[in-house]
Amino acid sequence: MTKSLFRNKQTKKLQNVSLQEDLALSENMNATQALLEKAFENCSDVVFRQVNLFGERKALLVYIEGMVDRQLLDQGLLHTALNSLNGYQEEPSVSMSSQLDQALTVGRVLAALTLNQLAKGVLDGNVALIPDGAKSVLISGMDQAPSRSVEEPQMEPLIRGPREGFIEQLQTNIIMVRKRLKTPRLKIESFTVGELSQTKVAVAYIEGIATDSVVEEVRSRVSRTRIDAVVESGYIEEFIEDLPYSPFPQVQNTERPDTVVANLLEGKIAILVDGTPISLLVPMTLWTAIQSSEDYYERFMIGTFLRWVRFVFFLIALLLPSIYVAISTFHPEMIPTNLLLSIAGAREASPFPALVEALLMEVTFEALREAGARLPRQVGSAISIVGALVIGQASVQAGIVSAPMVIVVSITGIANFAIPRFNVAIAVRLLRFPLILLAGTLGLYGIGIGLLGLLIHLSSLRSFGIPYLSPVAPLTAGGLKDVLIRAPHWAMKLRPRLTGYQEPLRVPPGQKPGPHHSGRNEGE
Amino acid sequence: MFRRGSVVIILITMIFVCTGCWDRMEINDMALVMASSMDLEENGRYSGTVQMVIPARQIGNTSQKTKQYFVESGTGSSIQELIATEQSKLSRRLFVAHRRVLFIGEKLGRQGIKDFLDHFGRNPTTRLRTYVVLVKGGEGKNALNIDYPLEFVPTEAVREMEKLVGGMAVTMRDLFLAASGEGIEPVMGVVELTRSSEKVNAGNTRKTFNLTGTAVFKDLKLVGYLNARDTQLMMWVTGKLNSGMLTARLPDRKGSASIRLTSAKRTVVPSIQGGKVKFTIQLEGQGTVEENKSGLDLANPKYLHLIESALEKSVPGETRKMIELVQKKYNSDIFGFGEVLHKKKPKVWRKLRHSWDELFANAEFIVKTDFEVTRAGMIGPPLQLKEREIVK
Repeated sequence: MTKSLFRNKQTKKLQNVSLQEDLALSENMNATQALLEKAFENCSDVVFRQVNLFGERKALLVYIEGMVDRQLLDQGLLHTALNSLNGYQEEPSVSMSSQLDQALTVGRVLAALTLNQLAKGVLDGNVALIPDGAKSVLISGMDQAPSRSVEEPQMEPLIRGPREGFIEQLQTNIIMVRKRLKTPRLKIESFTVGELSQTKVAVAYIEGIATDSVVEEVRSRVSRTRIDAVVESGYIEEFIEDLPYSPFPQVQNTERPDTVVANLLEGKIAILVDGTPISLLVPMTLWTAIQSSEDYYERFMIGTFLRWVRFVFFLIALLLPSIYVAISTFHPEMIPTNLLLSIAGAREASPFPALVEALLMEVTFEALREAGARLPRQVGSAISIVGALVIGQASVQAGIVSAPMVIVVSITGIANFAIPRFNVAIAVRLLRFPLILLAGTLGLYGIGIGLLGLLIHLSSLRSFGIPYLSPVAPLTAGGLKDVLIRAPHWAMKLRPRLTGYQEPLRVPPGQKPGPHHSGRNEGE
Repeated sequence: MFRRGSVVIILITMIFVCTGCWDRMEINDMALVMASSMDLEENGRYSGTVQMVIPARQIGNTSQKTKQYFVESGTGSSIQELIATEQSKLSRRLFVAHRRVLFIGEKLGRQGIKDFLDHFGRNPTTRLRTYVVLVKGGEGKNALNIDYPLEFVPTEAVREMEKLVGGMAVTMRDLFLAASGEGIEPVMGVVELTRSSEKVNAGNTRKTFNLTGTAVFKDLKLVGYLNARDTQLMMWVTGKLNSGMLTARLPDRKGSASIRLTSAKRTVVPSIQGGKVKFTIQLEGQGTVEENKSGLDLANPKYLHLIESALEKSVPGETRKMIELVQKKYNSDIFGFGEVLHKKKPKVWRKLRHSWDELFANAEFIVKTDFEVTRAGMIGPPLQLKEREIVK
């Protein structure tokens, strides 16, 4: 009872924020000015500027300083419209706005009937034009938000592949996708999320390839999100994922337009958010954790090999410390004798049990990593020196930590870096600790239990209706071509079964290159 | 939701209760036993010795003089009692899962090992791959006190030698299999503690391990030994031989050639003739010439055939002599002929199994050999010989 009351109160509060008094606008310039000035009270960045429209009529320009290109404003609006004395005729049949539309060389004229529309238009970077004795309009197309240039993505660097990464501006990002998919079938639906931030969110998919029901699901999940502000795409991610209490991410993210395009072609759906270079991709499967875009750009053999390396390191990152703890404290008979003697010799001086030692080292490593990630780049190198010297050498020489444990922790750290998807890597990072605890209390049996629980969780997890372990579980034989190996592009004839079944054929068969092919081509 | 949560909590608690034994043990709380020995004392009690590594001296630069192992012993009328007395002298728990070798004193072997073997099969930490070795003419604990500088623990040398030399390497598992099997008797590797040529101090020579043949058991009691040469033939007959040296004497040429075996096979065909059992043993082998003292030009295939026929003549005789020794003197079917009969003629075996001891003692053996010399090494005639000395 109390719970439901509380909930009601909260929703009410949010509604108060969003609902403003909406007023219809009159054709009186001064009245509109007064309303707007009240709305933008204490907003020093909003400019109110009186001009003469078409030479004779008084008008008010309202815009935000800096969000409007000043040159365009001068040349496109003020010069043309104000100086074309002959252009204006008092004719009741032709409205002011359509005449203005014809006179303008840049931008478009949009009608604004209410105060809210007008204010929102100004906040979006449009210019509000409020003529005396005519309807107010918004002139769009002159916005110029500050943004950085397109740079190489920092999070997902590649050796071979496009150097272009998303930036904080949605429009630019959409163009980067669009220019790679020049088809009208690429649909980009726009949403606005965030009561205060009014962030633009674009949902992109390829019509006919992406499953309609999944597109509809994404649409509904994005549009029902109610939050005060969307600062980063992570805000959206947490509202649209299937199971929030899972350590595994169910939404893939990337800052590479080429990755977005490749995933769109597999029938996935991209969610681009204004204000962040990180875009979201759904549905996600676990196997994307071992896939890097470079696999598809380099030759397929190295792609397959690297995939297996990542597989192995994925398991090492998850299991190595716990297996070391379990075997050295519960099952020393499993270690080859000579190795056991080395470990025994190294462990001799160590004052802590293996479990404590493992936790100690892992936590220290996490601290080092965190410190290294947050530090300014100039001081960052100091951390690695301190880390290498203090943890790597001094602690072993002082007999506080045994050398094998340092090796285990460092290999685990390296293995974790080898997982290309950062959001999966941090899930593995987190899961390591419960597994170490299980290993330290129950031995290999504990690891078995932990892995079993993990497997049950993973196989029941879904991302937008797609099983998280597909195409391995449920098994689709053709799908393994892109999981266990990276088949050559001419051999990957079909799209993934579960996301791209509406238009399965990707590559027409019979394109395997060879001398036979080239010979025939020469003949023709 | 509440019900599901409580079920999960109950299941998780069950996980922790379900485990049978709590066997968490830090490595630095263990005494790693590398080898142990069993002996019989005058008063009929068992005495046992364990050899443990000192982990702190395993890595880093340990000086030459400090020992990397130490030994401790105990006595008791049973193995458990014996271990308890050993354990009471140790600061760390005995950990036998890495034991490589178990030495058994000759006296204990003669008295019989049946009574104490149960411990090694029952205890989950003992390793069935442990080599079991009989110390000929000595006590097991003497073997544990021998220094052997080449390996990190002296007894490791015995394990390596068992693997390398290809002698009679018998593990705990083999012992159990042979002892419990019908129509087969167990054997054991034999180690002798001989004087090494290295002088230690004041002219005293060091003792060292020497693998010499096979110990023959009957009803798990030591009845006798086979020497190294007989051991090789015995392994050939049982099909376990895969390497070894054979010497072919060439009487008409006044020389000999040494052949290294590269493959050895055998087939045993049993037959019954009027209440008497007859075994036809066909030994097949391949080898390469390692040494040629005959002056023959071995590039000529004729002389290779000569060596082959010399071996085909000598091997069956020696083998028959060896089988006769085991058959008449020890009367112990260490070759597993009974088992062969069991496999080939199960119906006959069912009738004969109870009187197998006598039947084996009176069985007849025919040994045939088929040998092939495949290569003669890099050269034909010996390089040091003058042209006229070479028999072409």
